[in-house]
Amino acid sequence: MATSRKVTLLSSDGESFEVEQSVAVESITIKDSIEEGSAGNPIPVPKVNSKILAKVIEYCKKHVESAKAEDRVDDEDLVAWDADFVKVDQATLFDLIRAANFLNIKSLLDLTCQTVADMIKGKTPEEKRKTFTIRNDFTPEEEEEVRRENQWAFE
Amino acid sequence: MDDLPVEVIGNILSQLKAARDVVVASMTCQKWREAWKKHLRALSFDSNDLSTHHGFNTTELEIIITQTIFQTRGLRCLTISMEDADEFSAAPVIAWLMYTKETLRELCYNVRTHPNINILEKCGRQKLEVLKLAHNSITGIELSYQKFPQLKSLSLSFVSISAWDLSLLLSICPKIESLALVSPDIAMSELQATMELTSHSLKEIHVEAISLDKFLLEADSLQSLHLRDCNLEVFELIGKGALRVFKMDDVSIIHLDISESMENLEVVDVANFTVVWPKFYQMISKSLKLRTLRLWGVVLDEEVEAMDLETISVYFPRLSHLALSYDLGDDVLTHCLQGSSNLENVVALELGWTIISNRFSAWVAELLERCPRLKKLKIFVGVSEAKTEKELGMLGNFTTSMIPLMRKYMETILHQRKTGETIKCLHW
Repeated sequence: MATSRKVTLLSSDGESFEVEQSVAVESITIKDSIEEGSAGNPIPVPKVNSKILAKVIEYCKKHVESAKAEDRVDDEDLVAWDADFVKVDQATLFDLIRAANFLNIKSLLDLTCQTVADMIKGKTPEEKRKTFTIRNDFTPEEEEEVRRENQWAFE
Repeated sequence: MDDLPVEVIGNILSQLKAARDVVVASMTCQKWREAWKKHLRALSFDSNDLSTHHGFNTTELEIIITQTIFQTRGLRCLTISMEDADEFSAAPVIAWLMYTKETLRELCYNVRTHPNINILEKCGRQKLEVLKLAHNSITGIELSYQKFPQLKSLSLSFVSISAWDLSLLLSICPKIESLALVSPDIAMSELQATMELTSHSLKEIHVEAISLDKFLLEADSLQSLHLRDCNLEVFELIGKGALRVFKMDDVSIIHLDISESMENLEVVDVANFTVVWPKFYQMISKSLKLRTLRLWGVVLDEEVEAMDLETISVYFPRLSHLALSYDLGDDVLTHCLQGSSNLENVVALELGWTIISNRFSAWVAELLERCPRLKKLKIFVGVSEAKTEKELGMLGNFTTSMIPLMRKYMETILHQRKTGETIKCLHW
């Protein structure tokens, strides 16, 4: 049976992770490369280091297991598990976002983006820039124009 | 954060949803502004978010929504939810729908428009997957050119629609999986108030606040049925054995006719349900896979027998959640407790009694005996408004007698039914 096959993933810093194929194909990127036959073994995962790859694998495993579970009551538990999963420092959170984007794992990408959205909510632009160390690249005139376009939101 | 692609920023902004938050966020830097303009997928105008400092009048809202939507491109989810708005004029609403027609996948809209426009005609049909409408009227469904090829979820609340149009609407949604009808204003063409719905793809249906002479539902793939606050003289369900969840809440059905095998039923949850009980029991007796059984607020007269524990343990070997609330006279209580089979797999038990009485303690004690694997226990007991001395005395006795029994259980909650307060909460 295809699902009991294992694949090996190789992180950017050279660590190998053996996982069930059913877990690995949560990533559309990996799924496509396996189906096209261009995967090779182990499958290299550039840009994603071992620490983040381990977490991504943990997420995929949990979600694949929950989908199989007969007891649908697990939905609430899964939501709680997800909430815990994203309680990480900012750098890790952004690394997870980058990994989910590169590996094309929609549910993980949505989950991590939702987490960032929750952090942003209610903050002024200046506060946001500070929290995420973003450079303000608007000129004062541009900033004024942008503010005027949507004046209502700042009242 | 600098190297995150602009599409991902778009995803983050889309998760914010509330228009005000998204607009403020777009001002953070050039990349975020670009994400706002080109990669925003979801936007929500909700009266709860919008009216913080000062309320906007209807015209101001129309302007704000128009100029905000028109700054985006490729919007997939649009929510416009106003609690007390009067009416939007038709022109801006048509503009919003036309602007988003090519890309919209989800639309939630609950405001009346003046003059009334047929939302179904104006909104994008090709890609729409979720449609939630409220306080609007739907007329004149045309089979010939209208189809909603991708629509999976449809919710109509306080919507005027004829029974005929409603059944036509289902037929032009070949992939529909979920239907919710809340307090519809259904215009009937015949003398008899009848609604007939047919769908091969429908998996769940929720109908609330409806009164009909006859409701016929033909749904081969139906998995979940939930009726609430309904009065139906005749309810006919034709399925093909996929039904897993059966929920009735404050429902009265005189003639219940279910051509459904009930073999896969996992949840039966009925509360304040008026039905012919022996027939109902017969119907669910074939549900060997039943895991949750809730019979709540069931009024039984002397002739009708309540389902006894022996029968429950025999018919439903896999039962794990049991909730029973009906006031039992002495005879019926004896009948119920007959036999000695245990409910081997029950891990959660909920018991209710309208007004505290000593019979209740016997009932609880016996049930606790019969559930050897019990982990969670909830008790709902009522006390009348008067709270007589006698009642309080019985309540006191009850809780005292319960304590040694409950010691075994992980979590026990005692609810005082009338006020809903937790009068005693015991945790182990």
